[in-house]
Amino acid sequence: MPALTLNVNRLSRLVGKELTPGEIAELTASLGMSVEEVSDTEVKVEYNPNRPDFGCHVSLARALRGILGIELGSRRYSARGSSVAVEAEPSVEAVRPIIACALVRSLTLGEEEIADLIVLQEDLHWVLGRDRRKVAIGLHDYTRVRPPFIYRGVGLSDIRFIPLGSYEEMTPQEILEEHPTGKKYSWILKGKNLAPIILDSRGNVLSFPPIINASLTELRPGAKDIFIDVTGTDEKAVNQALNILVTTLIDMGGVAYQTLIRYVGRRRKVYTPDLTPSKWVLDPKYVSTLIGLDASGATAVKALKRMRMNARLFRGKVLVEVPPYRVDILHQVDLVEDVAIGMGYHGLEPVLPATAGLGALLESSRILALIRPLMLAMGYTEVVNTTLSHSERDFKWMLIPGEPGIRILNPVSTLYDSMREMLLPGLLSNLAANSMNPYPQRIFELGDVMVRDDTLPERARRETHLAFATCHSTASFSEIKSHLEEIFRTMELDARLSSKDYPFFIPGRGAAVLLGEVEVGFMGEVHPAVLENFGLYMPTAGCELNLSLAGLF
Amino acid sequence: MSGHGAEELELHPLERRVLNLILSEGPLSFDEIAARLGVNVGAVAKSAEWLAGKGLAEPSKSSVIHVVTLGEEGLAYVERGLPERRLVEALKSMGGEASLKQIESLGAFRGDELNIGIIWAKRNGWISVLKSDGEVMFHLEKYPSAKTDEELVLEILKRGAVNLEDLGPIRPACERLGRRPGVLRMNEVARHVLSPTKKALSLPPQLLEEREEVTQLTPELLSSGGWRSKIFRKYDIYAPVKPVLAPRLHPLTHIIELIKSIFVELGFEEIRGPLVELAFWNFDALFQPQDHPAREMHDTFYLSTPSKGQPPELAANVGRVHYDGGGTGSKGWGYEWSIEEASRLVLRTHTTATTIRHLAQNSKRPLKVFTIDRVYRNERVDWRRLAEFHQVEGILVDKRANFRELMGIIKEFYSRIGLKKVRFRPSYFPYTEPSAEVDVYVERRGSWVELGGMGIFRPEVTAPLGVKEPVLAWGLGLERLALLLLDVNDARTLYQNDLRWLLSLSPLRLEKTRVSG
Repeated sequence: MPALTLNVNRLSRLVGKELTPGEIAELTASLGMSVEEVSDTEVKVEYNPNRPDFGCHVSLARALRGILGIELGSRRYSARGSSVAVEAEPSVEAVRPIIACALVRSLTLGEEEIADLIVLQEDLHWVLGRDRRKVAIGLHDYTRVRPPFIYRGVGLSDIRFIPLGSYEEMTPQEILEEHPTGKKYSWILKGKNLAPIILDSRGNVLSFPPIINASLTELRPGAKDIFIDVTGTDEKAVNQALNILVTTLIDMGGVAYQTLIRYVGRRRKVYTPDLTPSKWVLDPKYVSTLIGLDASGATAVKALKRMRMNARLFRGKVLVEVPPYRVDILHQVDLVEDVAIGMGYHGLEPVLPATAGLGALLESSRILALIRPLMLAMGYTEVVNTTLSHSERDFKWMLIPGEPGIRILNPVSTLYDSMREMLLPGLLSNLAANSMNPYPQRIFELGDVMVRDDTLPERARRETHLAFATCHSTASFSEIKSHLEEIFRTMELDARLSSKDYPFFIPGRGAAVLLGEVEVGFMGEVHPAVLENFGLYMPTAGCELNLSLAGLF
Repeated sequence: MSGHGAEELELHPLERRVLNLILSEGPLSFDEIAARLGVNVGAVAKSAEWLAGKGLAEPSKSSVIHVVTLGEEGLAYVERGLPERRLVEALKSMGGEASLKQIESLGAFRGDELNIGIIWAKRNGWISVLKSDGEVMFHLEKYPSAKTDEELVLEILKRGAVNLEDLGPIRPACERLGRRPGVLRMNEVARHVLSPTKKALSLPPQLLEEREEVTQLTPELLSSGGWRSKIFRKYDIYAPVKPVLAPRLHPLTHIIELIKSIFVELGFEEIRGPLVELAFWNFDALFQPQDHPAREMHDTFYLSTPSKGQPPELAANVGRVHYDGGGTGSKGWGYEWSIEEASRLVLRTHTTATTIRHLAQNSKRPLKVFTIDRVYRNERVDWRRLAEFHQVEGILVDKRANFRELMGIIKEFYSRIGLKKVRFRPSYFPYTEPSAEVDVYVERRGSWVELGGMGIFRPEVTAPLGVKEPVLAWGLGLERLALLLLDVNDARTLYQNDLRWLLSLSPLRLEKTRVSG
């Protein structure tokens, strides 16, 4: 989740009310943020990715003023017409096809505001932009450039400019290979032979999205007019990011102007930003049934206004205007949640559901609960291992030729690369890890293994196994056999042993467990070579039964 | 410990016999007492200690004896013979004469043994040593056919420890052996004498009366009725006994059973679903867009073998909802949905994959089901995060179901676990609206702990499955709750299976935390 460090004084100033760190923590939590740290001067919060508009002091203050009742409803955000045009040439189609821009003037940006914008921009890159791949933003000092602008795909070595954080001119190629920011984001342009570049009418480079801006237009405290470019692959996300930035700048005191984007190749013209609020009709009955309380239309209107939306009653329905920065409203159900948050979750009294139901356990749960006491009574302590497993242990160490049936593509840890197919290797690992503890050691596990099964849509089947192992200086076949026979008797299984060699048992000291003609398990004395592989220097005998195959459930 | 119950003077049968002996014969050494009573010296020493503790007898040191046992070399000599003996045997077998090299080539002597053998054989006058042509030659002078005193000493010691003072004529040989390094071990032991005290002289006679006491009640004593004439020896109830470590169930099992019983009590039916799951059920059916960060490789385990499965027919409906809302009244995510991406196989990242499957395949209404099962996140494991863990998941489907009832289920659940203070915060999941995060207050820690999420499934989730009723859904972390209830900090502890830890846990601990919260 994106994080935000809130300065208590600054936020109080923006909200227009003296707030304590504790109050800020409580208010942000009531808006759905998770409070990470509270100090005397700062409150650290994380916000959910559906609300990228929470990303800085100014935009958060807007929300707090609403729930504090200082300012209700939404202001009318608008962008005036302007003659600023951006020409998107066909050469960008294959590289980074979408662009949206805006001009915001009459600002007075101090250090705090610029810091805010940088934090907001970075979080938008992450949340809406998927690390700049889908959306990338450039903020420019407008006084340094002259429209109209050109958005063009340029050969990687065909242009030179000074990027941010550098003092010399570089080609896009050089930036991608040498500049720290260039190297970090070069993956986005991998395989492309053109660099998306934004130029002004004099041929000055503004930006090389999604990599870096030119140092020419760097924002410095005192900047008054800002030109914003947002480029990307998804028009909706690009416009959302632009709207969030522009509305925040308007809240900082700026006046927004639209730009005309001309997609030359597509013969398409759009004006950005489009700050028109979206209009919704909300039925108060829908709100009441979903939340479970009689929320009248008036209550819903009040709550939505506290959430900074414009709302009014019309013929029993609530007409809602959602401001352009609220990118999370997809369905009227999202407005229902805003009503609930606006009313305050703490004010909603939990009630027990009136829906009756007949509780029941799965048959497998009931049967496993009967097997466990049997294992305890025979002296076995229960262990629980992960189903994530390591094939080297499960196969090589066990002297089993072959490969796991289910392999993981992308494990971050080398501890696992597959799903277990047997429980016994896990038990041997447990015993090896317990070599400092007193003997005899007897352990068992009841758990699932995964089996490849191409008849199922998900291509894999769960099977429940029981495995147990005894480990001490005189652990033997006969000890395990007597326990196994007691299990047969208790579970009323008409099973028998049949001589069979397994690579992980001492030859002549292993046996298959047969139910009819079906092999449902095996038992035996573990081969010393296997024990050595596990680093277990104590005789061990073990058994594993496939309970699913044994027809227990 | 003895000494407890000093009010009532009790004598062990052996104490009584020892005391009677020294009362009638006067002070005796421990050895004599042992010999007279036919018990070992250790038992006498023990009785003497008890009697001294009760003020009835007084042990005192009278003299010192030397106990001789075999040392490391001595043990080797007992096995292979003294080096000097082996040297003359070798010479004899080689015709009475041999060079040093010839003897060495036999390989019969280790380390210093040959030198030691030469020294003693020469000293005993058995051999002579000559040097000729730069070679050392040995000549057998006198072959000792009888056993030497030294050999006799070794033979006696082979049977066990001996007092030096008891050796008589062969004592000098023993002392000679004792001077050879490592052959013998000699311990000084004090000889003790036990004398009765004045208090013993004035003991009431019935205490000293030797009665037959029994230690163990036997079936024979019971069937013959013989127990009636016996006296049962009183035990030292404070004496330590052998510890028994009873086998245990794993604490996660106890917690899972506890939670299952609570949901069954609340009228929910248990269900279970696949661990290897189609991305479709894990993500797409839950309205998680295909470029959602949670679907990235560093969060989710994808499979390489097998890598793809078969999404159900209704997947097309879901794809349309992702694209433009598909008539659900939603705007959708506005992107081209791919069935390929939905066919990928993952290790399910949440048990919601199972509840949504169940919802799609089950038309029973109302529906109340839950599952407690494993889920996977592609993370590096540390004290807070596991790559495989459990979730407690459930849904309630009913025409009249609502958000406050969802809150009620969760509150009731935690209160039955002993966590009475629950709070709900707004939250976000792509598949629920309204959504909430659940925090519980933990008195012991004095803080709120985040334990799970909940919400009502979005119409974008339910409509393509043909579900019209509200679906209340929640998913809670099991391991976090387990750590709280067990008061453990490191999540890895739960899967380490350290027997010392497992056997130390009381199954009642859960019940106790349940009561105290």
